[in-house]
Amino acid sequence: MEAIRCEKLFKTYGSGANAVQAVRGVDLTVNTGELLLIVGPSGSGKTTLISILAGILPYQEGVCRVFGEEYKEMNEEQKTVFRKNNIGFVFQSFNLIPMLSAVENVAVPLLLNGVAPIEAEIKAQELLSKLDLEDKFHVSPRELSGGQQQRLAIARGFIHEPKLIVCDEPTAYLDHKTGEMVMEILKNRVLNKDRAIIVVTHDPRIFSYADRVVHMEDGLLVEKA
Amino acid sequence: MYLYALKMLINERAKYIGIVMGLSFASFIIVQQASIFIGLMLRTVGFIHDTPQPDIWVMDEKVQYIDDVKPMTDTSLYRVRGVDGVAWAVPLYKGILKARLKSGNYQNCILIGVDGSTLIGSPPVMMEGNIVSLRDPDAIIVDHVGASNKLSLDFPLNQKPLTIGEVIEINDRRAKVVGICNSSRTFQSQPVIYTTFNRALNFAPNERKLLSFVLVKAKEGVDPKLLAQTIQKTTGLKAFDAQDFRWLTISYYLKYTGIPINFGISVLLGFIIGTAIAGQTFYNFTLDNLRYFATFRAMGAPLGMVRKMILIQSFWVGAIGWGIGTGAASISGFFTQYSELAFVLTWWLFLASAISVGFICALSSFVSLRKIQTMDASIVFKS
Repeated sequence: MEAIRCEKLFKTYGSGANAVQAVRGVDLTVNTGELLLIVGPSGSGKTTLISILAGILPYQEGVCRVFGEEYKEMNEEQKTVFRKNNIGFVFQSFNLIPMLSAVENVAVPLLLNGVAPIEAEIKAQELLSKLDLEDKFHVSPRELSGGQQQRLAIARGFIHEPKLIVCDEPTAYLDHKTGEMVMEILKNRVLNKDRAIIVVTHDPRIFSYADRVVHMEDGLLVEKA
Repeated sequence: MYLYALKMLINERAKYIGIVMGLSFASFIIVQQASIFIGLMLRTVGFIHDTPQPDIWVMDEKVQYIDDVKPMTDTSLYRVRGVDGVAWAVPLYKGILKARLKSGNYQNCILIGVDGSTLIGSPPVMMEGNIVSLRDPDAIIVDHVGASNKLSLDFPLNQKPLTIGEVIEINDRRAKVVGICNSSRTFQSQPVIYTTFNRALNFAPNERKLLSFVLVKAKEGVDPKLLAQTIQKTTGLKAFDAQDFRWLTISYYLKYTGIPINFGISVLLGFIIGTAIAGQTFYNFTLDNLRYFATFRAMGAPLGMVRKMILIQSFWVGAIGWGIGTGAASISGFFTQYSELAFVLTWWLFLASAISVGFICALSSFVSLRKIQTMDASIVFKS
């Protein structure tokens, strides 16, 4: 099943002489059950592209359909609801809330989806146990190692069963072994036939986990491998 | 999510304490300084408050406030008594005289001379002795704060208070203490001595006019305000009911002393410093957490929910800060109630400080919310 279809996607920052085209006519299709890697140098437009795919950034031209829904036809609140129901995030710097415990961090997407707090925290505990974090339920993320934080971030990214998970440099701050562990989790535990995962990365060590790798340069997808 | 918003706030200990302390400080200063201001203003009218019997105070037309005594001729009393609607009218002497103590010390005192036959104008509460003893030869009644401080036998040590039976001199005349009373503190903190009107005239330096005020009771069914107007028209003297006389006095102090400006500046400084500390810290807190609020937005939190989270955080620190500040001000007032400090805490000061703290919180929330609304949502992807 087609998860994402982008056609002639353009995104420009600024206007006039200061205009910068970050995405220049990208065509991209991603299917469910697929783990897609978007690679490329810094400033090539990778982050802008996943921000558009996740419904966070608007785009000026082209089509971007995610599970059949076109972002351009949605207002801001509709996009917010769409993200809440369909998209999970794993960020490069984790973006875990240090003032909340591990369980509370993971429970956030469930709370946003209307699950009762107690039920949300029980589900978060179950998921953290599956990711070998059962002894870290009530610990602040700042007390966890990089690998543990990323596992927590992954748990938060898919606890509400989203159909698309967007990961931005998930292994950037991790050593090789921990990076491999994170990709193992994404590939073997998170990915399923109804879900697509898009990973933006610089890290060539994780290319082997991809079903497909696309290369981005100067706002264009220039190479497919 | 709203509980998580509070956890985010409270678990950021240093900033949380900073915001709460800023708001507590603002609230404390606003309440404490305003209470002292009100206390001082009420001290200026303490004597009017202590003399509840008359409906109307009659005085020379040039009098501007209660301590601005401009004596009238004795005949003024009879002219007032002749006005239609007056039930009774009695004389009152009020002046500042020097008292000489056994130790040889001199002390300026407020001497009140009340009508000897009715004792109208006498002290409101007797702590020792009997009010009728005022009719004894050379009798005076002294307020207890004066008796135990400035009129104490060993002033300034204040270990031997003036007691019943002691004899002092007022303007070189013998005066015997027959009672100790409790009266309102005076604005200048001078001891208050009560005696009869005729004896007060003996104590006072010899002058042609010595009648300070005429205290008037309106006949039943007569409106005191209307009667005051009639007295003014008929006698050419100034006449006020107690409420108007209080306002005349307070207005004078507000207009011609630096008290409102000084206290106003203190209150304003408290407000500004509170706003600066709490507002800036709260804004910094929001700025520091901008990435997390953006993360919530990315994960599907509606803008309204994020707004409410910030407002709840703001309301929380406002409530805690206001509670601590007003609580501390109340406690400080409680522990200083028997001191020289004028401190009167009214319910509307709580309300005013709550509104002030609410304003500070609303202002800092507004600035923070603007930042949230204008934030670049894609910062979630920035490292």
